[in-house]
Amino acid sequence: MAFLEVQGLVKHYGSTPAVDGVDFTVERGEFLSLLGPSGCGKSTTLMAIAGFIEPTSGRIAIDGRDMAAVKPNRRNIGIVFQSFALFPHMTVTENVAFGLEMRRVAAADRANRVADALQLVRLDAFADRYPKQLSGGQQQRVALARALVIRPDLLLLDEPMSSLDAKLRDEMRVEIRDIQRRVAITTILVTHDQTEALLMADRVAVMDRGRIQCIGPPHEVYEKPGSAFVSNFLGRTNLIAAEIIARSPGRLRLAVAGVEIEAVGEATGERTTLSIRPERVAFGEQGLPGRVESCLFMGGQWMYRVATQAGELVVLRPNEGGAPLATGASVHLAWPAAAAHIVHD
Amino acid sequence: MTRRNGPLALVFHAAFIAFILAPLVVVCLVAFTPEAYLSIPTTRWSLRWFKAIWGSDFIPAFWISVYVAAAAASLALLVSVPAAIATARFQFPGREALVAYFLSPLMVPHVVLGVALLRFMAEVGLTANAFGLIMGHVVIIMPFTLRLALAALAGMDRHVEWAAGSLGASDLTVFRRVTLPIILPGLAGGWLLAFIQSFDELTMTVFVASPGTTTLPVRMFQYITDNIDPMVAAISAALIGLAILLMAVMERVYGLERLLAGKGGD
Ligand SMILES: Nc1ncnc2c1ncn2[C@@H]1O[C@H](COP(=O)(O)OP(=O)(O)O)[C@@H](O)[C@H]1O
Ligand SMILES: [Mg+2]
Repeated sequence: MAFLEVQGLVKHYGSTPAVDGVDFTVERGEFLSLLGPSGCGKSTTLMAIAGFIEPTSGRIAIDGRDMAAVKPNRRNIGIVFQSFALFPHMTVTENVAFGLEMRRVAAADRANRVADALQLVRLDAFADRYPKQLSGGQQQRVALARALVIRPDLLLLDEPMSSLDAKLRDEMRVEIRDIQRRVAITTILVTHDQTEALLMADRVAVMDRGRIQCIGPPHEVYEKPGSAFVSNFLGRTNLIAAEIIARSPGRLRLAVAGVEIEAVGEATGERTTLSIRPERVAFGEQGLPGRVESCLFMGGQWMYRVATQAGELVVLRPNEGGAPLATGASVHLAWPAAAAHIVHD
Repeated sequence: MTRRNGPLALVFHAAFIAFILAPLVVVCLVAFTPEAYLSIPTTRWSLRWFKAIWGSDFIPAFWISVYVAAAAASLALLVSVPAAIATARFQFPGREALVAYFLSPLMVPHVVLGVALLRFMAEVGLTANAFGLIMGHVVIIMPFTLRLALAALAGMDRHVEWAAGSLGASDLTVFRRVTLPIILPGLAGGWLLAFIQSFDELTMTVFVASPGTTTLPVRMFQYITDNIDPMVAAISAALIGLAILLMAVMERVYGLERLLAGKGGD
């Protein structure tokens, strides 16, 4: 049995559903990220787990125990909010000590644990400051220390990185990931940033309009997105219309703008949509004919836009030191059969 | 961006400020006259009218006003905080109506309230009673304490309370350790505004005050209906001086702007 179980979670505001039937489980020590566009119900799901939002229906259980009748202050959950929600009238030490005070931890033990927590987030030098005397990144680390010091059963992070600048965000992603591994705490991260979700989590759940569209390890969800929404939200992709010519189990023969190709997956009907990642498309002697429209240098890669009969395709090629293809050049695009996935919308 | 005012705007602002300040300046000047009638002293200054206040019945009236205003402001605050929390934090039918009801005394003329209260208190036997007067003032100043309490709560991040809850604090502890300290500056501002409103209130109080509960504005009003002498000017000047002193102290301790803007938190 999984450590956290969420079954059929529904939350309505008036008649509109914010969360519309969400099921997932998280194993002990696992890092799950809930990824989705703004307003898709991520925070609502998280706050229902924390107990601050009462679900319209559904079941939430932690370690086999149903949470319906358990008040938020008895759930032993650590939360880092998007706004950090530090206590403005308390120093860093007082903020971090608050949860221990509530648990009536003896003063000496409390001081030790607060010091350890501040050391964990490298803030020992700022113990006596007030939150408004700290930078965004420091405030975030106070919030993290405050949530971790109570040794929670579950750590919930609600877009903790979204108010940090890009460089700091990259550092904090790695740092939070390291800390999570070190203290081996079951964690759910809510984010609308796909890089963050892929980078940090053991498993990613992609949400849209109150539902989980797909869930799995980052590379699997990325490689086999299953739906057009997921493939577009998780990184960039090319969506191409194709006609089905023949089927065999798990494999299809298709025609894309008159060119015959193979793809993996199952589909009914005569037409379907393919998702092909830009980095899987190569220039070759044969394949889909096209014309280079533009070429952008991205450091490690070149990004081409190629006009074809099937629409404009994005192609990412590694920079191997040579000159790129010229704009206007005629090319053929090809990709391995395993790179073309059938998606549904 | 700062833009400099044109000459016309400067003249307008100066005229406006002069218009507000001129009566106060005149009253303060008159207060120092040595004459027995209202006049602006030109050759000689005197403290005679300030000395006359001492030992007059204006002093007990002043203390009654302070006592009534402090009691009424505190009571109003005590009622406003739970009301503000209920309406700011919970959804329930009639929520808007409740707020509108609490704020409605702002819209009712004080004369009407005075007549109504006089009638009501006669019915329930509260006339000639400081309690009745205080309750009347609570009704009038409640909109101020409630408005500032609501503003302080609205300016506070809900998640800060949730954070405290998730760390193990009960609802009561969250309020005591987190919510209250954060909204305290807003509440203090509300209390101060309410105190000033109550201290200043004449129209309604005239109806309800009895010989034992004559507040300073009522006493002054009675006085000038019989006498025209610089005594009231001296009292006014003394009150202005007191207000300036209080404001200076408050500015030092809290920062007035923060207090009167009713902002919580930082
Ligand atoms: N208290 C509320 N009252 C009404 N609607 C709400 C409330 N909270 C959230 N919603 C709505 O529910 C949907 C999901 O919100 P939320 O879970 O905060 O999304 P996310 O965190 O994914 O951005 C949004 O459309 C939002 O407008
Ligand atoms: Mg959110």
